[in-house]
Amino acid sequence: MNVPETTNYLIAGYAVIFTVLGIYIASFFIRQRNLQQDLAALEELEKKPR
Amino acid sequence: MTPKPRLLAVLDTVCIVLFLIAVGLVFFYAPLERSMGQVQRVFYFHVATAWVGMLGFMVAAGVGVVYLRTNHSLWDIVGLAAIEISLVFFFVAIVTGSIWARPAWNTWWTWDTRLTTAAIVELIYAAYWMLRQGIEDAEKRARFGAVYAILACISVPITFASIRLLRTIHPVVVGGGDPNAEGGFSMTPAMRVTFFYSLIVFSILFVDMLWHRIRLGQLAEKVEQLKLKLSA
Repeated sequence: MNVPETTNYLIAGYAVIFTVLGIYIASFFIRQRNLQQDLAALEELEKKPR
Repeated sequence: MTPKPRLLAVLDTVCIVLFLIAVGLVFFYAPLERSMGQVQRVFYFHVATAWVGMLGFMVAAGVGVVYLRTNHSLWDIVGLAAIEISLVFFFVAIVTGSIWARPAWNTWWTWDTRLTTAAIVELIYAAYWMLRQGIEDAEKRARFGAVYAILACISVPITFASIRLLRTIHPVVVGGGDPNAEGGFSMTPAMRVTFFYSLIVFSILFVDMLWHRIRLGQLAEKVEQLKLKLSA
């Protein structure tokens, strides 16, 4: 029995898995950094006398 | 943001190691399936990502109930975190399924029972995400989110059972299925080990990501509260 040549689909499948999950995990770091910057700026504003 | 707990740091490392082992099992331990060829290896992570998707949607429904009973904002943050993670994993499951279907069914997409119900689930939760953005009042948003998550979760068991109860071409690898299914195969012991190991690893990965996403949600809540305080 001949095994069908489907390696390209395998590569495409795992490329999608690693890329999407990689981008999503990277978004955690980016969002965390942005929120920490926002928090620092807001805390600075809070300290200033109004 | 509070410093990262030691347990979370350990869990991160454990997840990376377990994930790399899973990749190793998929590519070097699981045997080649002769009727489909290499693309069959997509199946291990395809099912695992679909499982995480469904798991998160169910968790969101559970914490939705807890939120309605307690009114504590933490449960809203947990529900949102679970749905966000599940949306991503379920999207990956749909796309990898489509990639597998091309050589197996000779089409990228067909309106089969499983594919249709899975697409509906993804759209239902994408709508949850968008509708939440339109509600400004935090308490109203949380209550809406909780009720929506509880009602939306009805679609999850329907999708899970669709290939077991209805006529479909989607294979059921665990627990038998429709004789019309195309692309089904019997798992060898090595395939079974890889399959269940991947399911366990992705479940642990879900817990780890959920913990991180909850911490992010708590930080966002703190920023939002400070903004409100300063604008008052």
